[in-house]
Amino acid sequence: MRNLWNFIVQYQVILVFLVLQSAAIAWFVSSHGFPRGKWVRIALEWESAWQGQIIEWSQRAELSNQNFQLLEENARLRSRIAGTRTSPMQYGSEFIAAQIIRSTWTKSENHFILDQGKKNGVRVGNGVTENGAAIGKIIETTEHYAMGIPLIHNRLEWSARIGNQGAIGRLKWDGINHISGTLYDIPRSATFAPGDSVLTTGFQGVFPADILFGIIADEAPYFDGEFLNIPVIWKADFQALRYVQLSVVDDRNLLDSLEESIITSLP
Amino acid sequence: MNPAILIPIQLFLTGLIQILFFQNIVLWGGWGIPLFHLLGLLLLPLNTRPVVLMLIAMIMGVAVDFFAYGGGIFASSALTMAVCLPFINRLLAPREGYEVTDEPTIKSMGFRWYSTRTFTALLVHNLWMFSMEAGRLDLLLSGWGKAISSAALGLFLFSTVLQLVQAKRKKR
Repeated sequence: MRNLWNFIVQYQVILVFLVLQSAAIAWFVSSHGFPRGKWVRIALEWESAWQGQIIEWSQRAELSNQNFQLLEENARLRSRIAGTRTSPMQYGSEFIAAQIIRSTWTKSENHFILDQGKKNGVRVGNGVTENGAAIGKIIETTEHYAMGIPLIHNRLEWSARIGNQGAIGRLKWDGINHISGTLYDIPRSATFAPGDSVLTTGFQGVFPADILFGIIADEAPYFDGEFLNIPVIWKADFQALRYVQLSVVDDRNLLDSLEESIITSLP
Repeated sequence: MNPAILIPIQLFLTGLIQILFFQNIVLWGGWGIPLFHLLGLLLLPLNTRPVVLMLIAMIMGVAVDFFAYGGGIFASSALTMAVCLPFINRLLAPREGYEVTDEPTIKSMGFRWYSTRTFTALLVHNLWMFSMEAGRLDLLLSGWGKAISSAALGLFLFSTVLQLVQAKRKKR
């Protein structure tokens, strides 16, 4: 016992360092770049209230009210357009207006915070758009605020299509340049040209179909076996995000339950 | 002011300023990230026990993580800097050792000692932080570049703040 105590006293610095460092790294690894859970909800409420206050001060002299009214009107109009679609590939969606009060764009795992929360109908999994361009999805909400992860997060993959009826692939950010990503697994036979739209498929239940991710860059695609990987320029400027809309896919629960029933009924 | 009061105030103020202001500031397209809370740690007395230094760094890091959604990255980095700081101090110590009255400031130790210590400590912190944040080998190089440029920014920022504070004290 005495030897153990002597050992602890002698190596106290390294032992304390190892214990504390292990705790910090365990915290980092467990969050996996997706900050979720109770501590995030508490921080969201406290810190976002302060950020909201700063935004309010900085906007006193601006036409923020008019901007937000226009944004809400846009959201209503988008909801109406989504509700009138008749194509079987495009299910109805509603849009909620929100403002980004904080965002990061220089990290490999970025996030943004919105000034709307559960009280305003925001739910985890809602897609976020800016001027009709997909920018990310919600991962955590409190009563008054929500946290989302943008397309520029190197652990996320999105289901995307070239044009309305083109090939489907995985859209991913490479973690380096915040203005572009890469569309993976496009068959060699697919036809496309620089400037073609890259759209949401609606398969993930985050966005309705046909929301713009970006356009195909004017760069040569690179070959990956039987597939092509195509550089894509994002439509949204992640450095200047401010007013956004949240897409609430109406039939998401229905689609999820249908998918589950198919999986459980398989032999 | 009595150090027993001054030190907690320094730590609290630098942490608060980081959380309220500097965590929202990113310069030069992500190549300049100010980490103002580290000034509080760097201003701790030179004879602070390493274990105490690590505990304070951990608390400071956790507080910044909590509000910046860092998920432990600031805590881990501050801890790494704290464990290296006594070694850096020892390497830079004068031949006769530190005096009891020595403070880790420009005024007390001179700009050369201060800038070497601050830049080295910030570099250790930033290399650890940007390497963790990169998460992938191909992002490591740009992460280390950011670590160096952010350490230079930190040195400039801390030196400016200390000069201003010292100039004010002289006026009194």
